Amino acid sequence: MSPYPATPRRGHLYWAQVPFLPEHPLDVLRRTSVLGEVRVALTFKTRPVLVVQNHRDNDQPAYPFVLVAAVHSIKPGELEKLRRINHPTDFLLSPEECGLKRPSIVFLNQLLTIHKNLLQDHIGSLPSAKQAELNVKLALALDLLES
Amino acid sequence: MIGYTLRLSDEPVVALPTDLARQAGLQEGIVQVTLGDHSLTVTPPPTETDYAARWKAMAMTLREQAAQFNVTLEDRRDASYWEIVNPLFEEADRMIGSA
Repeated sequence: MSPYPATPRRGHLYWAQVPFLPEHPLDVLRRTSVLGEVRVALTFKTRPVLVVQNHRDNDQPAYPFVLVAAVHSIKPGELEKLRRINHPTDFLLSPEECGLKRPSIVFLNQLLTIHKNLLQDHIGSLPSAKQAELNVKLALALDLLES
Repeated sequence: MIGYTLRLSDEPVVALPTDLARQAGLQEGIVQVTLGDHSLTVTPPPTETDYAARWKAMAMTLREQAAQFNVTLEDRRDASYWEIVNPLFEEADRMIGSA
């Protein structure tokens, strides 16, 4: 029995409470002339995430973290534009491919580690062809193809 | 004198325990059994060079898969691309990991 609200699955999308700063961290630093620790309020924002972590760590109840990538909504016209550019580390999702209401983009070069407790409701899972594309694009994001 | 019997399975390649291999005067490695030829060939254990070669082969496979998704490594991000993603990066800048 998992001690977490949801057992993460690789290639699945979830709503998550992602730790979020109320302002840009660099703006805070520009404002202050105080050296040392700078205190900033932390909030949480509910947003969809794509789990990219391996199955063993997902299933291991003693391991509390999960590696995800944030999912950003885009406009339908933007999806077509981005598909044409097809940047190697951009993972594009149409609503029918992922269970989200709007077309979306996942930047696979911007991964986040969050606590498994922050994962909430399951949204959907990627079809097998998209899983294969995810694997290739993750390898590209980490430069694994360059050796 | 202690005798050792190497029990062969149906598998054409079997791993020979190190101690047994040494006592038999063989080097560590994989024993290749050529069926019907009554011969054994000891392959040296993999070296770092072998791992590098294996990884290159895996990277090649990944590059072939990348080609199936029409992914090229060249940077084709133009002004219209940045116009779309910059507002999304503004939000990404404020997300932090909890680890």
